[in-house]
Amino acid sequence: MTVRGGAIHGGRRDARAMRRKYALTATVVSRTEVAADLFEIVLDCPAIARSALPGQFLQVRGWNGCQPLLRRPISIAGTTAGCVVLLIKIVGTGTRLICSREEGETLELIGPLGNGFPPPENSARRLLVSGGFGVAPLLFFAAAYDVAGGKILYGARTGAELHTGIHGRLGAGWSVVHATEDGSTGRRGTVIALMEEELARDDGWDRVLACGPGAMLKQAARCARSHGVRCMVSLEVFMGCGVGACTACAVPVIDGDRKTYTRACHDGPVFDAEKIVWEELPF
Amino acid sequence: MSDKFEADLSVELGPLKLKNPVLVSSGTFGYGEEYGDFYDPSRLGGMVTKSITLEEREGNPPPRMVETPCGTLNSIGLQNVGVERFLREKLPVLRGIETVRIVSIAGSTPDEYAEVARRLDGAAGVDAIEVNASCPNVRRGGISFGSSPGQLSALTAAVRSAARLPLIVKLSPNVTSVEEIGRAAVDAGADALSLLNTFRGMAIDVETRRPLLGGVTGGLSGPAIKPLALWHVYQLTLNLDVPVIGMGGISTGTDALEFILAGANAVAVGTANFVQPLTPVNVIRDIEDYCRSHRVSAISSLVGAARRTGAEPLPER
Repeated sequence: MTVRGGAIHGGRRDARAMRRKYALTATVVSRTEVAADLFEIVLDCPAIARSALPGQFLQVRGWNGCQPLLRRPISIAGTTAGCVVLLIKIVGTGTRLICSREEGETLELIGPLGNGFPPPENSARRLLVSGGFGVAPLLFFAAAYDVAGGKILYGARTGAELHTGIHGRLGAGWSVVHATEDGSTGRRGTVIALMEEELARDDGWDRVLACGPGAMLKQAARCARSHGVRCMVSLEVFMGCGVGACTACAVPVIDGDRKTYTRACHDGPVFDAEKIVWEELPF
Repeated sequence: MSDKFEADLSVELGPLKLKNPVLVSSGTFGYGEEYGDFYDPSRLGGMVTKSITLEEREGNPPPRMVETPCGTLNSIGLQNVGVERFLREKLPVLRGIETVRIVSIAGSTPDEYAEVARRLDGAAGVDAIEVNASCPNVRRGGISFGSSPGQLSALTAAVRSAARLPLIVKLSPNVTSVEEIGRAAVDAGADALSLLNTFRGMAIDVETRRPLLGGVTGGLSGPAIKPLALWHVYQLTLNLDVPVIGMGGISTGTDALEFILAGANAVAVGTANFVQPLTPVNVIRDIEDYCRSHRVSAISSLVGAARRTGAEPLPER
């Protein structure tokens, strides 16, 4: 494995400096609609770009006043030359306002936040499973690390919702397979069906990393477990502060022999799927 | 042209001396660790920790927060590490923050509150206790103590006798008369009052036809409640001579000044910490600027000033 300059440069860094969070205003360098209602926004933000890890997120605000009130948690989709790349799907008022900020305008950011995916060990094989805009943190992961063999299973309802321009960003050793529920691009069916097939076909996968809608992650966890493969999921959870203070983003997890609540923003959003008490989550 | 005018921002809150009137409210600032990357918390006039109970509590099932117009509804359910872990793991960090450190306490019975207060009393780094008699999101304790003058009086007296620390009681707005409840707390030994905790509310998912919050109901906070909370501060301080920390939707210096003019000796920033971590220091700066531009030499001179301008409300009864 080698580490690519764009994302994880500087080698080993001081753990405390790595956890440093910034609250700042960043200028939009570019904004591109890469799929239906899916925007790629590049922000000039060296402080965050320097320390961001795949799987971490930002708390983003792109409006004034109190409506909506809270920031929106957005996964980091990559870093490049002092910039942070976000991939944002318009799902409501907040994301619409964020995506309406044009080149030269600004967004307010807090980050980088959360734990991120553990980096792959030498020659580890990673199967990335992404649904919809859940591809964002996995794209960052695949851009950041060269691997001995890695595959991105990337599904959406229709081809129009797929960001098909991701190939050029990836590190060495990665390939992409698409699935759409209507069959308009790639394989017809869900990304979970693709995952099931892949794990049945090839028993050499060390670990699955998944991100997407909650129901999809729950299925991915079950599928990985049935094949005896460890699975890490990046959960999308409603967040208040994003920095660990409000405990609104509680995720039920197994800690030793008891259930407890942990904070997705601080101890996640990436969790070992086996630690999550899925029945208690609303999907 | 440089302006050397420097206002005295210090305020007194009963026995407590604050370097400025801006605090952060309980449940929005953790135990003081979470915001250290954004600014030095020692710049605050004071801070109130998340409520501590005798035993660790896991809190309510998710979802714990929903966004509402200009506000949030939360049902956290007093998730906290418990007093022993607080003393062992959290207090050392708190001790390093040079501000007035107020530890919020909660419990299911007056004895539990008193026991937590007893263990905090004398601990270095704890400058005062805030009694959370107003959490709307737990089944036992919390708001039930803050809903009846008799119960709140007994609770306040129990904590008062357990600790020598300055005692602040945080009131609930979900009562017929905040003033009557506040009077009971003061008569039982409270040195100051915090006004207010959240307003009870709820939200329903029309697709699932179920309440959106795991705890069914929650507490409303944020800019949506500012006019309501402001009135409560105005009304209570009109009739009750007690130091007050005013809060409810404060996100700007103007908001804070309104609370001070209404009668609050100090103010607390709550939900706005989630939106913009720098809010408390921005509020302090805004108050400084206001004092400079209006030639106010001491912020304490503005406390309750809105009441002294002949704008007395019509008698209620």
